Amino acid sequence: MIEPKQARLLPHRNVPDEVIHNILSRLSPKPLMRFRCVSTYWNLQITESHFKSHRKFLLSDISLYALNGENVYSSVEVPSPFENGHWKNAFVIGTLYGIVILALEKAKALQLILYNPLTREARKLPDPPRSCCISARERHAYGFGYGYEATPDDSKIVIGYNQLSCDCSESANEYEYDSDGEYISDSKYCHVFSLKQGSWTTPKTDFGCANISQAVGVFLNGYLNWLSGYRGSKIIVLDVEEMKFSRMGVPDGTNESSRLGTLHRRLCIVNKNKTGFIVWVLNIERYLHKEWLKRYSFTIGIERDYHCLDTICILEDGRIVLMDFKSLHLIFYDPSKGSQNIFKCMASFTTSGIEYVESLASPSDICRYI
Amino acid sequence: MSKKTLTLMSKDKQLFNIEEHLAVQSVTIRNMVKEDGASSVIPLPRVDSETLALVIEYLNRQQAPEEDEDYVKKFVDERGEIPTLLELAQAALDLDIKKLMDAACMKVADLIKDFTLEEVREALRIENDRTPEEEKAIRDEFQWAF
Repeated sequence: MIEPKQARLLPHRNVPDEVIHNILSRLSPKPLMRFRCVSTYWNLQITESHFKSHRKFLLSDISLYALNGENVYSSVEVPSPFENGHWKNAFVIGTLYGIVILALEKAKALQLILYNPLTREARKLPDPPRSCCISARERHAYGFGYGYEATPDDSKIVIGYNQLSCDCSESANEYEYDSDGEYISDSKYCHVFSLKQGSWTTPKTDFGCANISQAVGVFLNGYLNWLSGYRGSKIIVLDVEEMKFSRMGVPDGTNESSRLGTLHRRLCIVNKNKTGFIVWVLNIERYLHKEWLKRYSFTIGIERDYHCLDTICILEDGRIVLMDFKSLHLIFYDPSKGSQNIFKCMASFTTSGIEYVESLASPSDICRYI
Repeated sequence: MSKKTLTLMSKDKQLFNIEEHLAVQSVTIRNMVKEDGASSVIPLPRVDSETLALVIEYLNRQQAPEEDEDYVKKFVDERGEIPTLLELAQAALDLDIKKLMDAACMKVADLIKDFTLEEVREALRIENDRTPEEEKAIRDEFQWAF
Protein backbone atom coordinates (compact mmCIF):
# COMPACT_ATOMS: atom_id res chain seq x y z
CA MET A 1 0.00 0.00 0.00
CA ILE A 2 1.16 3.49 -0.79
CA GLU A 3 0.80 6.00 1.99
CA PRO A 4 -1.47 8.95 1.15
CA LYS A 5 1.44 11.38 1.37
CA GLN A 6 3.56 9.33 -1.01
CA ALA A 7 0.64 8.95 -3.38
CA ARG A 8 0.53 12.69 -3.77
CA LEU A 9 4.22 12.88 -4.57
CA LEU A 10 4.13 10.02 -6.99
CA PRO A 11 2.04 10.96 -9.98
CA HIS A 12 -0.80 8.50 -10.57
CA ARG A 13 1.22 7.66 -13.61
CA ASN A 14 3.94 9.24 -15.66
CA VAL A 15 2.85 10.43 -19.05
CA PRO A 16 4.74 8.26 -21.59
CA ASP A 17 7.57 9.86 -23.58
CA GLU A 18 5.80 9.30 -26.87
CA VAL A 19 2.81 11.28 -25.68
CA ILE A 20 5.02 14.12 -24.40
CA HIS A 21 6.87 14.18 -27.73
CA ASN A 22 3.67 14.27 -29.68
CA ILE A 23 2.29 17.14 -27.60
CA LEU A 24 5.52 19.16 -27.83
CA SER A 25 5.67 18.69 -31.58
CA ARG A 26 2.36 20.49 -31.88
CA LEU A 27 3.29 23.57 -29.90
CA SER A 28 4.33 26.79 -31.53
CA PRO A 29 7.77 28.25 -30.77
CA LYS A 30 6.62 30.67 -28.12
CA PRO A 31 5.14 28.24 -25.59
CA LEU A 32 7.83 25.77 -26.56
CA MET A 33 10.64 28.10 -25.55
CA ARG A 34 8.81 29.01 -22.35
CA PHE A 35 8.19 25.35 -21.48
CA ARG A 36 11.93 24.72 -21.42
CA CYS A 37 11.55 25.96 -17.85
CA VAL A 38 8.98 23.29 -16.95
CA SER A 39 11.55 20.64 -16.07
CA THR A 40 15.02 19.40 -16.97
CA TYR A 41 13.49 16.57 -18.96
CA TRP A 42 11.29 18.92 -20.97
CA ASN A 43 14.23 21.21 -21.60
CA LEU A 44 16.22 18.32 -23.03
CA GLN A 45 13.32 17.12 -25.14
CA ILE A 46 12.72 20.58 -26.50
CA THR A 47 16.32 21.48 -27.23
CA GLU A 48 17.67 18.17 -28.44
CA SER A 49 15.63 15.34 -29.79
CA HIS A 50 12.54 17.30 -30.51
CA PHE A 51 13.74 19.57 -33.26
CA LYS A 52 15.77 17.09 -35.21
CA SER A 53 12.92 16.06 -37.40
CA HIS A 54 10.58 18.95 -36.94
CA ARG A 55 9.92 20.11 -40.44
CA LYS A 56 8.15 23.34 -41.01
CA PHE A 57 7.10 25.32 -43.96
CA LEU A 58 7.67 29.06 -44.18
CA LEU A 59 5.52 31.25 -46.37
CA SER A 60 6.24 34.83 -47.11
CA ASP A 61 4.30 37.77 -48.36
CA ILE A 62 4.19 41.02 -46.44
CA SER A 63 4.41 38.87 -43.32
CA LEU A 64 6.00 35.54 -42.62
CA TYR A 65 4.03 32.46 -41.65
CA ALA A 66 5.38 29.18 -40.32
CA LEU A 67 3.22 26.12 -40.84
CA ASN A 68 3.50 22.58 -39.77
CA GLY A 69 2.90 20.84 -43.07
CA GLU A 70 1.46 17.72 -41.50
CA ASN A 71 -0.98 19.42 -39.35
CA VAL A 72 -2.75 22.32 -40.87
CA TYR A 73 -4.31 23.50 -37.65
CA SER A 74 -1.21 25.28 -36.56
CA SER A 75 0.09 28.15 -38.54
CA VAL A 76 2.01 30.80 -36.75
CA GLU A 77 2.64 34.30 -37.86
CA VAL A 78 6.33 34.83 -37.34
CA PRO A 79 7.24 38.33 -36.30
CA SER A 80 9.27 40.35 -38.69
CA PRO A 81 13.02 39.91 -38.30
CA PHE A 82 13.29 43.60 -37.50
CA GLU A 83 11.23 45.96 -35.45
CA ASN A 84 10.60 48.31 -38.29
CA GLY A 85 9.94 45.44 -40.59
CA HIS A 86 7.96 46.77 -43.49
CA TRP A 87 8.79 45.42 -46.86
CA LYS A 88 7.13 45.24 -50.21
CA ASN A 89 8.08 41.70 -50.87
CA ALA A 90 9.99 38.94 -49.19
CA PHE A 91 11.71 36.08 -50.92
CA VAL A 92 12.76 32.99 -49.07
CA ILE A 93 16.00 32.11 -50.82
CA GLY A 94 17.21 29.07 -48.99
CA THR A 95 17.72 27.35 -45.68
CA LEU A 96 20.60 25.83 -43.78
CA TYR A 97 20.53 24.23 -40.31
CA GLY A 98 17.19 25.81 -39.46
CA ILE A 99 18.24 29.29 -40.56
CA VAL A 100 16.37 30.76 -43.50
CA ILE A 101 17.86 33.24 -45.90
CA LEU A 102 15.47 36.05 -46.72
CA ALA A 103 15.69 38.78 -49.31
CA LEU A 104 13.51 41.68 -48.27
CA GLU A 105 12.59 44.15 -50.93
CA LYS A 106 12.27 47.55 -49.33
CA ALA A 107 11.41 50.89 -50.85
CA LYS A 108 14.73 51.47 -52.54
CA ALA A 109 16.89 48.63 -51.51
CA LEU A 110 17.29 44.98 -51.08
CA GLN A 111 18.18 43.55 -47.70
CA LEU A 112 19.49 40.08 -47.09
CA ILE A 113 18.77 38.55 -43.74
CA LEU A 114 19.62 35.33 -41.96
CA TYR A 115 16.71 34.44 -39.74
CA ASN A 116 15.83 31.67 -37.36
CA PRO A 117 12.01 31.60 -37.30
CA LEU A 118 12.05 29.56 -34.12
CA THR A 119 14.32 31.63 -31.91
CA ARG A 120 13.49 34.78 -33.87
CA GLU A 121 17.14 35.68 -34.07
CA ALA A 122 17.92 37.73 -37.17
CA ARG A 123 21.11 39.16 -38.65
CA LYS A 124 21.51 41.39 -41.62
CA LEU A 125 24.10 40.46 -44.20
CA PRO A 126 26.34 43.18 -45.64
CA ASP A 127 24.68 44.96 -48.56
CA PRO A 128 25.58 43.83 -52.06
CA PRO A 129 28.36 45.92 -53.64
CA ARG A 130 26.09 47.76 -55.99
CA SER A 131 22.75 48.66 -54.58
CA CYS A 132 20.00 49.43 -56.98
CA CYS A 133 16.38 50.31 -56.89
CA ILE A 134 13.65 47.91 -57.75
CA SER A 135 10.06 48.52 -58.56
CA ALA A 136 7.44 45.81 -58.27
CA ARG A 137 7.13 45.50 -62.00
CA GLU A 138 10.78 44.96 -62.50
CA ARG A 139 11.45 42.56 -59.72
CA HIS A 140 11.35 39.66 -62.11
CA ALA A 141 14.57 41.00 -63.39
CA TYR A 142 15.99 39.63 -60.17
CA GLY A 143 17.18 36.16 -59.59
CA PHE A 144 18.13 34.86 -56.16
CA GLY A 145 19.79 31.64 -55.32
CA TYR A 146 21.42 29.70 -52.54
CA GLY A 147 23.77 26.84 -53.13
CA TYR A 148 27.13 25.31 -52.34
CA GLU A 149 30.06 23.59 -54.00
CA ALA A 150 30.95 20.43 -52.14
CA THR A 151 29.44 20.92 -48.71
CA PRO A 152 27.02 23.36 -47.09
CA ASP A 153 29.95 24.76 -45.10
CA ASP A 154 30.92 26.71 -48.17
CA SER A 155 27.55 28.16 -49.06
CA LYS A 156 26.92 30.99 -51.43
CA ILE A 157 24.08 33.39 -51.99
CA VAL A 158 23.69 34.59 -55.55
CA ILE A 159 21.86 37.69 -56.70
CA GLY A 160 21.58 38.30 -60.37
CA TYR A 161 20.05 41.46 -61.70
CA ASN A 162 19.69 43.59 -64.71
CA GLN A 163 21.09 47.08 -64.95
CA LEU A 164 17.95 48.15 -66.79
CA SER A 165 15.92 47.94 -63.65
CA CYS A 166 17.85 50.92 -62.30
CA ASP A 167 16.42 53.17 -64.97
CA CYS A 168 12.94 52.49 -63.65
CA SER A 169 11.46 52.99 -67.09
CA GLU A 170 7.77 53.76 -67.08
CA SER A 171 6.70 51.37 -69.75
CA ALA A 172 7.73 47.85 -70.52
CA ASN A 173 7.42 48.70 -74.20
CA GLU A 174 10.56 50.75 -73.93
CA TYR A 175 12.55 47.61 -73.42
CA GLU A 176 14.03 46.05 -76.46
CA TYR A 177 13.84 42.33 -76.92
CA ASP A 178 16.11 40.04 -78.84
CA SER A 179 14.98 37.16 -81.01
CA ASP A 180 14.83 34.94 -77.95
CA GLY A 181 12.32 37.19 -76.26
CA GLU A 182 15.04 38.34 -73.89
CA TYR A 183 15.40 41.92 -72.71
CA ILE A 184 18.41 43.47 -74.29
CA SER A 185 20.55 44.81 -71.57
CA ASP A 186 24.03 46.26 -71.41
CA SER A 187 24.94 44.69 -68.16
CA LYS A 188 23.57 41.79 -66.26
CA TYR A 189 25.30 41.54 -62.93
CA CYS A 190 25.75 38.64 -60.67
CA HIS A 191 26.84 39.19 -57.08
CA VAL A 192 27.88 36.34 -54.88
CA PHE A 193 28.06 36.33 -51.10
CA SER A 194 30.17 33.62 -49.53
CA LEU A 195 28.96 32.69 -46.05
CA LYS A 196 32.38 31.20 -45.32
CA GLN A 197 34.32 34.32 -46.32
CA GLY A 198 31.64 36.74 -45.20
CA SER A 199 32.07 38.93 -48.26
CA TRP A 200 30.65 39.77 -51.66
CA THR A 201 32.31 39.20 -54.99
CA THR A 202 31.20 40.01 -58.50
CA PRO A 203 32.43 37.24 -60.75
CA LYS A 204 33.14 38.13 -64.35
CA THR A 205 30.14 36.40 -65.72
CA ASP A 206 26.98 37.41 -67.45
CA PHE A 207 23.85 36.54 -65.51
CA GLY A 208 22.56 35.62 -68.91
CA CYS A 209 18.93 36.52 -68.59
CA ALA A 210 16.87 39.46 -67.51
CA ASN A 211 13.33 38.17 -67.31
CA ILE A 212 13.19 35.50 -64.71
CA SER A 213 9.76 34.07 -64.03
CA GLN A 214 10.64 32.41 -60.75
CA ALA A 215 12.82 34.73 -58.69
CA VAL A 216 14.25 32.09 -56.38
CA GLY A 217 16.44 29.53 -58.09
CA VAL A 218 16.31 25.83 -57.35
CA PHE A 219 19.55 24.27 -56.12
CA LEU A 220 20.42 20.68 -56.96
CA ASN A 221 23.76 18.84 -57.11
CA GLY A 222 25.94 21.93 -57.40
CA TYR A 223 23.74 23.78 -59.87
CA LEU A 224 21.28 26.61 -59.44
CA ASN A 225 18.37 26.61 -61.86
CA TRP A 226 16.06 29.49 -62.74
CA LEU A 227 13.00 29.31 -64.92
CA SER A 228 13.29 32.26 -67.24
CA GLY A 229 13.07 33.64 -70.72
CA TYR A 230 10.04 34.94 -72.50
CA ARG A 231 7.02 33.01 -71.10
CA GLY A 232 9.29 30.58 -69.29
CA SER A 233 10.94 29.36 -72.42
CA LYS A 234 14.15 28.13 -70.84
CA ILE A 235 16.07 27.39 -67.70
CA ILE A 236 19.25 29.21 -66.81
CA VAL A 237 21.68 26.98 -65.02
CA LEU A 238 24.52 28.27 -62.85
CA ASP A 239 27.43 26.03 -61.98
CA VAL A 240 28.03 27.24 -58.41
CA GLU A 241 31.66 26.14 -58.31
CA GLU A 242 32.74 27.49 -61.69
CA MET A 243 30.28 30.40 -61.65
CA LYS A 244 29.42 29.70 -65.24
CA PHE A 245 25.97 30.00 -66.77
CA SER A 246 24.38 27.73 -69.32
CA ARG A 247 20.90 27.20 -70.68
CA MET A 248 18.55 24.27 -70.78
CA GLY A 249 15.26 23.55 -72.55
CA VAL A 250 11.90 23.10 -70.84
CA PRO A 251 9.10 20.56 -71.40
CA ASP A 252 5.98 21.34 -73.46
CA GLY A 253 3.44 23.56 -71.84
CA THR A 254 5.93 25.39 -69.63
CA ASN A 255 5.15 29.06 -69.19
CA GLU A 256 5.64 31.84 -66.68
CA SER A 257 3.19 30.20 -64.26
CA SER A 258 5.18 26.97 -64.14
CA ARG A 259 7.11 26.11 -61.01
CA LEU A 260 10.55 24.61 -60.91
CA GLY A 261 11.48 22.41 -57.97
CA THR A 262 13.05 19.13 -56.98
CA LEU A 263 11.34 15.78 -56.67
CA HIS A 264 13.32 12.96 -55.07
CA ARG A 265 16.66 14.59 -55.95
CA ARG A 266 15.70 15.35 -59.52
CA LEU A 267 14.81 18.63 -61.14
CA CYS A 268 11.09 18.87 -61.81
CA ILE A 269 8.61 21.31 -63.31
CA VAL A 270 4.94 21.64 -62.40
CA ASN A 271 3.01 22.96 -65.38
CA LYS A 272 -0.53 24.23 -65.25
CA ASN A 273 -3.10 24.06 -68.00
CA LYS A 274 -6.81 24.92 -68.00
CA THR A 275 -7.91 21.77 -66.25
CA GLY A 276 -5.05 20.56 -64.14
CA PHE A 277 -1.37 20.17 -63.46
CA ILE A 278 1.34 18.10 -65.08
CA VAL A 279 4.55 17.19 -63.30
CA TRP A 280 7.71 16.63 -65.34
CA VAL A 281 11.04 15.36 -64.09
CA LEU A 282 14.44 15.74 -65.70
CA ASN A 283 16.00 12.45 -66.54
CA ILE A 284 19.76 12.51 -67.00
CA GLU A 285 20.98 9.49 -68.93
CA ARG A 286 24.44 8.36 -69.68
CA TYR A 287 26.61 10.87 -71.57
CA LEU A 288 24.61 13.56 -69.75
CA HIS A 289 21.77 13.31 -72.19
CA LYS A 290 18.93 15.24 -70.59
CA GLU A 291 15.30 14.52 -71.20
CA TRP A 292 12.08 15.76 -69.58
CA LEU A 293 9.72 12.91 -68.72
CA LYS A 294 6.08 13.30 -67.80
CA ARG A 295 5.73 11.87 -64.30
CA TYR A 296 2.04 12.35 -63.54
CA SER A 297 -0.82 14.76 -63.84
CA PHE A 298 -3.38 15.78 -61.28
CA THR A 299 -6.42 17.94 -60.73
CA ILE A 300 -7.60 19.48 -57.51
CA GLY A 301 -11.34 19.85 -57.80
CA ILE A 302 -13.47 21.08 -60.65
CA GLU A 303 -14.87 24.00 -58.73
CA ARG A 304 -11.50 25.73 -58.69
CA ASP A 305 -10.53 28.34 -61.19
CA TYR A 306 -7.17 27.28 -62.51
CA HIS A 307 -6.27 30.84 -63.46
CA CYS A 308 -6.12 31.59 -59.76
CA LEU A 309 -4.03 28.60 -58.77
CA ASP A 310 -0.29 28.83 -58.38
CA THR A 311 2.25 26.27 -57.34
CA ILE A 312 4.24 27.58 -54.38
CA CYS A 313 6.72 24.78 -53.90
CA ILE A 314 7.36 21.06 -53.89
CA LEU A 315 8.09 19.57 -50.47
CA GLU A 316 10.77 17.00 -49.83
CA ASP A 317 8.25 14.18 -49.39
CA GLY A 318 6.83 14.94 -52.85
CA ARG A 319 3.78 16.88 -51.76
CA ILE A 320 2.97 19.96 -53.79
CA VAL A 321 1.95 23.20 -52.15
CA LEU A 322 -0.52 25.28 -54.14
CA MET A 323 -2.19 28.59 -53.49
CA ASP A 324 -5.68 29.46 -54.65
CA PHE A 325 -5.70 33.24 -54.83
CA LYS A 326 -9.45 33.40 -55.32
CA SER A 327 -10.57 31.44 -52.28
CA LEU A 328 -7.31 32.12 -50.36
CA HIS A 329 -6.78 28.45 -49.78
CA LEU A 330 -3.43 26.87 -49.31
CA ILE A 331 -3.51 23.35 -50.66
CA PHE A 332 -1.11 20.55 -49.81
CA TYR A 333 -1.53 17.96 -52.55
CA ASP A 334 -0.14 14.49 -51.87
CA PRO A 335 0.42 12.64 -55.18
CA SER A 336 1.11 9.28 -53.49
CA LYS A 337 -2.41 9.24 -52.05
CA GLY A 338 -4.11 11.58 -54.48
CA SER A 339 -5.34 13.44 -51.42
CA GLN A 340 -5.24 17.08 -50.45
CA ASN A 341 -5.23 19.12 -47.28
CA ILE A 342 -6.78 22.52 -47.62
CA PHE A 343 -6.79 25.42 -45.29
CA LYS A 344 -7.46 29.08 -45.23
CA CYS A 345 -4.33 31.08 -45.65
CA MET A 346 -3.49 34.47 -44.29
CA ALA A 347 -0.57 34.95 -46.62
CA SER A 348 -2.70 36.14 -49.48
CA PHE A 349 0.08 37.52 -51.62
CA THR A 350 2.49 34.75 -51.07
CA THR A 351 5.00 34.19 -53.79
CA SER A 352 7.46 31.86 -52.22
CA GLY A 353 7.74 29.29 -49.53
CA ILE A 354 10.36 26.92 -48.23
CA GLU A 355 10.56 23.82 -46.10
CA TYR A 356 13.05 24.01 -43.25
CA VAL A 357 13.99 22.00 -40.20
CA GLU A 358 13.63 23.82 -36.93
CA SER A 359 16.75 24.26 -34.87
CA LEU A 360 18.16 26.48 -32.21
CA ALA A 361 21.11 27.46 -34.42
CA SER A 362 22.09 31.08 -34.49
CA PRO A 363 22.60 33.03 -37.75
CA SER A 364 26.18 33.57 -36.63
CA ASP A 365 26.67 29.79 -36.62
CA ILE A 366 26.39 29.77 -40.40
CA CYS A 367 28.20 33.03 -41.05
CA ARG A 368 30.59 34.11 -38.36
CA TYR A 369 31.34 37.50 -39.88
CA ILE A 370 27.97 39.00 -39.07
CA MET B 1 -21.43 -15.66 -41.55
CA SER B 2 -21.86 -13.67 -38.37
CA LYS B 3 -19.38 -10.92 -37.63
CA LYS B 4 -16.53 -12.01 -35.43
CA THR B 5 -16.34 -10.37 -32.03
CA LEU B 6 -13.27 -9.74 -29.87
CA THR B 7 -13.12 -9.16 -26.14
CA LEU B 8 -10.83 -6.51 -24.63
CA MET B 9 -10.04 -6.40 -20.94
CA SER B 10 -9.19 -3.19 -19.09
CA LYS B 11 -6.67 -3.06 -16.25
CA ASP B 12 -9.54 -3.15 -13.73
CA LYS B 13 -10.64 -6.42 -15.34
CA GLN B 14 -13.74 -5.17 -17.10
CA LEU B 15 -14.61 -6.84 -20.38
CA PHE B 16 -15.63 -5.04 -23.56
CA ASN B 17 -16.85 -6.62 -26.78
CA ILE B 18 -16.10 -5.17 -30.15
CA GLU B 19 -16.48 -6.45 -33.71
CA GLU B 20 -13.15 -7.61 -35.09
CA HIS B 21 -13.33 -5.57 -38.29
CA LEU B 22 -13.63 -2.41 -36.17
CA ALA B 23 -11.06 -3.44 -33.57
CA VAL B 24 -8.33 -3.90 -36.17
CA GLN B 25 -8.14 -0.13 -36.65
CA SER B 26 -5.76 -0.64 -33.75
CA VAL B 27 -2.48 -1.83 -35.23
CA THR B 28 -1.69 -3.63 -31.98
CA ILE B 29 -4.90 -5.66 -32.14
CA ARG B 30 -4.49 -6.24 -35.88
CA ASN B 31 -1.08 -7.82 -35.26
CA MET B 32 -2.40 -9.97 -32.43
CA VAL B 33 -5.29 -11.19 -34.59
CA LYS B 34 -2.85 -12.02 -37.38
CA GLU B 35 -0.53 -13.96 -35.08
CA ASP B 36 -2.81 -16.17 -33.05
CA GLY B 37 -6.33 -15.48 -34.20
CA ALA B 38 -6.89 -13.73 -30.85
CA SER B 39 -9.59 -16.17 -29.81
CA SER B 40 -9.18 -15.38 -26.14
CA VAL B 41 -9.50 -12.12 -24.25
CA ILE B 42 -7.04 -9.35 -25.14
CA PRO B 43 -5.70 -7.76 -21.94
CA LEU B 44 -4.87 -4.04 -21.90
CA PRO B 45 -2.98 -3.67 -18.62
CA ARG B 46 -2.43 0.09 -18.86
CA VAL B 47 -5.93 1.17 -19.93
CA ASP B 48 -8.65 1.72 -17.36
CA SER B 49 -12.28 0.87 -18.07
CA GLU B 50 -13.42 4.48 -18.42
CA THR B 51 -10.81 5.16 -21.08
CA LEU B 52 -11.36 1.86 -22.81
CA ALA B 53 -15.08 2.66 -23.09
CA LEU B 54 -14.12 5.88 -24.88
CA VAL B 55 -11.75 4.07 -27.20
CA ILE B 56 -14.47 1.54 -28.04
CA GLU B 57 -16.88 4.38 -28.72
CA TYR B 58 -14.31 5.88 -31.06
CA LEU B 59 -13.63 2.58 -32.86
CA ASN B 60 -17.35 2.00 -33.30
CA ARG B 61 -17.89 5.32 -35.08
CA GLN B 62 -19.67 5.10 -38.40
CA GLN B 63 -18.07 7.87 -40.38
CA ALA B 64 -17.56 8.51 -44.03
CA PRO B 65 -13.82 8.78 -44.67
CA GLU B 66 -14.02 12.45 -45.71
CA GLU B 67 -15.72 13.40 -42.45
CA ASP B 68 -13.43 11.33 -40.32
CA GLU B 69 -10.87 14.07 -39.59
CA ASP B 70 -13.61 16.37 -38.32
CA TYR B 71 -15.13 13.59 -36.29
CA VAL B 72 -11.87 12.76 -34.49
CA LYS B 73 -11.35 16.42 -33.70
CA LYS B 74 -14.87 16.78 -32.36
CA PHE B 75 -14.55 13.53 -30.44
CA VAL B 76 -11.56 14.82 -28.46
CA ASP B 77 -12.99 18.33 -28.21
CA GLU B 78 -15.99 16.97 -26.35
CA ARG B 79 -13.72 15.21 -23.90
CA GLY B 80 -11.61 18.27 -23.29
CA GLU B 81 -10.32 17.46 -19.82
CA ILE B 82 -6.55 17.09 -19.76
CA PRO B 83 -6.44 13.95 -17.53
CA THR B 84 -8.95 12.21 -19.83
CA LEU B 85 -7.07 13.29 -22.93
CA LEU B 86 -3.78 12.01 -21.51
CA GLU B 87 -5.35 8.66 -20.68
CA LEU B 88 -6.85 8.56 -24.14
CA ALA B 89 -3.49 9.41 -25.74
CA GLN B 90 -1.78 6.67 -23.79
CA ALA B 91 -4.47 4.12 -24.69
CA ALA B 92 -4.16 5.18 -28.34
CA LEU B 93 -0.39 4.76 -28.02
CA ASP B 94 -0.68 1.25 -26.56
CA LEU B 95 -3.27 0.23 -29.12
CA ASP B 96 -1.45 2.06 -31.91
CA ILE B 97 -4.35 4.14 -33.21
CA LYS B 98 -2.46 7.04 -34.76
CA LYS B 99 -5.36 9.36 -35.57
CA LEU B 100 -6.73 9.25 -32.07
CA MET B 101 -3.29 9.71 -30.54
CA ASP B 102 -2.56 12.73 -32.72
CA ALA B 103 -5.92 14.34 -32.10
CA ALA B 104 -5.69 13.87 -28.33
CA CYS B 105 -2.14 15.30 -28.23
CA MET B 106 -3.15 18.20 -30.45
CA LYS B 107 -5.95 19.02 -28.06
CA VAL B 108 -3.64 18.88 -25.04
CA ALA B 109 -1.13 21.14 -26.81
CA ASP B 110 -3.93 23.54 -27.60
CA LEU B 111 -5.11 23.58 -24.00
CA ILE B 112 -1.72 24.05 -22.35
CA LYS B 113 -0.19 26.55 -24.75
CA ASP B 114 -1.24 29.53 -22.64
CA PHE B 115 -0.73 27.85 -19.27
CA THR B 116 1.75 29.17 -16.75
CA LEU B 117 4.72 26.91 -16.03
CA GLU B 118 3.16 25.85 -12.75
CA GLU B 119 -0.12 24.99 -14.47
CA VAL B 120 1.70 22.85 -17.02
CA ARG B 121 3.51 20.97 -14.28
CA GLU B 122 0.28 20.36 -12.44
CA ALA B 123 -1.65 19.28 -15.52
CA LEU B 124 1.00 16.85 -16.68
CA ARG B 125 2.15 15.82 -13.21
CA ILE B 126 5.69 17.02 -13.63
CA GLU B 127 8.00 17.79 -10.76
CA ASN B 128 9.84 21.10 -11.02
CA ASP B 129 13.54 20.29 -10.95
CA ARG B 130 14.72 23.51 -12.60
CA THR B 131 16.66 25.94 -10.45
CA PRO B 132 15.65 29.61 -10.44
CA GLU B 133 19.02 30.39 -12.07
CA GLU B 134 18.32 28.01 -14.96
CA GLU B 135 14.89 29.49 -15.41
CA LYS B 136 16.30 33.01 -15.39
CA ALA B 137 18.90 32.12 -18.01
CA ILE B 138 16.19 30.91 -20.39
CA ARG B 139 13.96 33.89 -19.63
CA ASP B 140 16.83 36.24 -20.44
CA GLU B 141 17.79 34.48 -23.63
CA PHE B 142 14.29 34.10 -25.01
CA GLN B 143 12.55 37.19 -23.70
CA TRP B 144 10.18 37.18 -26.65
CA ALA B 145 8.65 33.92 -25.50
CA PHE B 146 7.67 35.10 -22.04
